[in-house]
Amino acid sequence: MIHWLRELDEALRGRKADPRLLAEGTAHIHIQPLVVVSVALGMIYGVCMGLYAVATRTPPSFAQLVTSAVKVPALFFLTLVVTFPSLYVFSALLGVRLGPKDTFRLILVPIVINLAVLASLGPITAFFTLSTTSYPFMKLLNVFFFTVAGIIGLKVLLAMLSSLEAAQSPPPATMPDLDKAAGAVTVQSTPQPLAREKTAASRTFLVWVVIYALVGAQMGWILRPFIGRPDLPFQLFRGREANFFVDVLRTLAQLLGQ
Amino acid sequence: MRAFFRAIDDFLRGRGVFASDAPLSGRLLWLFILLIACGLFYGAVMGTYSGLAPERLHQLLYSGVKVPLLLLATFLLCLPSFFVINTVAGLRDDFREVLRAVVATQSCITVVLAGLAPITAFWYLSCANYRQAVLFNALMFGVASAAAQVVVRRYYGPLIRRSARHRQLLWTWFFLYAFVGIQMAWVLRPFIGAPNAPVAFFRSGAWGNAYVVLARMIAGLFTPGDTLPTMLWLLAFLGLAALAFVIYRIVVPRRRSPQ
Repeated sequence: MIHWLRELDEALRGRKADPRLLAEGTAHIHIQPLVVVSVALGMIYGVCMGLYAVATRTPPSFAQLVTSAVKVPALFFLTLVVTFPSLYVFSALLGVRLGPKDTFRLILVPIVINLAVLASLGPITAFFTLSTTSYPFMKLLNVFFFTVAGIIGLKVLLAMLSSLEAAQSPPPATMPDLDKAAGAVTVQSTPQPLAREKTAASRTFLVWVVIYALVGAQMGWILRPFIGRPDLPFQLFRGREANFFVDVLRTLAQLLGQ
Repeated sequence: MRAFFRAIDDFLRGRGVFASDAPLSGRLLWLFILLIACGLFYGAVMGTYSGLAPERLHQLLYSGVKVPLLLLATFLLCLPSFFVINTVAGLRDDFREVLRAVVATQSCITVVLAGLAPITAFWYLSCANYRQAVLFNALMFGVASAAAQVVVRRYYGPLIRRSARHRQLLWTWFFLYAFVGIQMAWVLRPFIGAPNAPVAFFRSGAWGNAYVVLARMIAGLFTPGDTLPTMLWLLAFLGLAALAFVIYRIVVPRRRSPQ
């Protein structure tokens, strides 16, 4: 327990993204504790989300609470399962020097942080759930919180990539000698092939983030209901209909049109 | 009692234990004492609108409890996410000081409110309109929040000088706090207590959502009929916001120039 929390704390403090550690590989990122912690964090937020069905329904729907608690971690990891192969294939194709396990470790840290931010917003969700009955509002609030947490996760991923690049670039120890030899000329540009690899890694991961976000949004739509519309009975999954983006626009219109 | 007033004086001037470079220990407790005591006082004054008749006296207690409750509950709800975001931003080592700064801001709001309490009482004596009383209190809260920026600058200044990221996080805090605080204030209604309604801690059926009400008001702008008053309110609000921004722009560079 303490061990897991310590891993989480190190991830949050950015110790996993330390260039000195990344220079020796990604072995300092332990997969198992981070997965356990992120499932737990997802469940915390899922409970806060599912509280709506308990608070607004008579009799309270605890089944919704439990399924929401399972669905939030499932949402993140199923999206990962769907998008991870393409990330690995494309990064390998574009010449990024990261094995599948390294790649997985690298994207696990932003996901943990994403879920930690989400779980820490949980009390606010619970407060709004208990004080409001408006279903469109709750839906948009949750979309907003997921977006905020996602953006923070993205920033962490970008920071990790840039420190990975810093770690893989040649050590600066040779620079002074070069400086002396070349007189006043300072050497700033890195060798050409490496620079190309850097941009390849960044670009692949950025494209992957966009794919992850789109698949994640749609995955959330497939796994719905998370909150549970008050006038519909509890269901494990709803039928196939429309998509996430159409529904967000529709919800906005509902909130304004009431 | 003397120690209490001396603490208020030190706090307002930022001396002694409240100086921005003084050691942290023992100060948080004082800040919470100030927050609760001054909040209780202003809340009680706030609740005097419906008169001091014996059967309505408990309205004073209810209103008194609600002001510190509003601030503290909002604070507690926002704290976990603020803590995590600070950690992710790599500023965990400063978090004790950050915590002191945000608690001190809230204490300052209540101290200023306590100072404004006689003006509120005077306003109550000279107006007989419940809506005016509500608006006047909203104005007092606005003034107190603006005045608390002095304390924000005092405690957050050194942090921002250390790392510019603290500025962004401060804005995050303001946004988060306002977002939750507005809904909290809506839930905790009535603060003042309408004279024709019975005294109650919570208004019956008052649970609802401030933002849904706001969205409906905005939607009301686009439906024909009752548009003009809402339009005027919105314009007045935007004008006030613009004015506040202009004042802020004028004041801030001057404050910074001596450094």
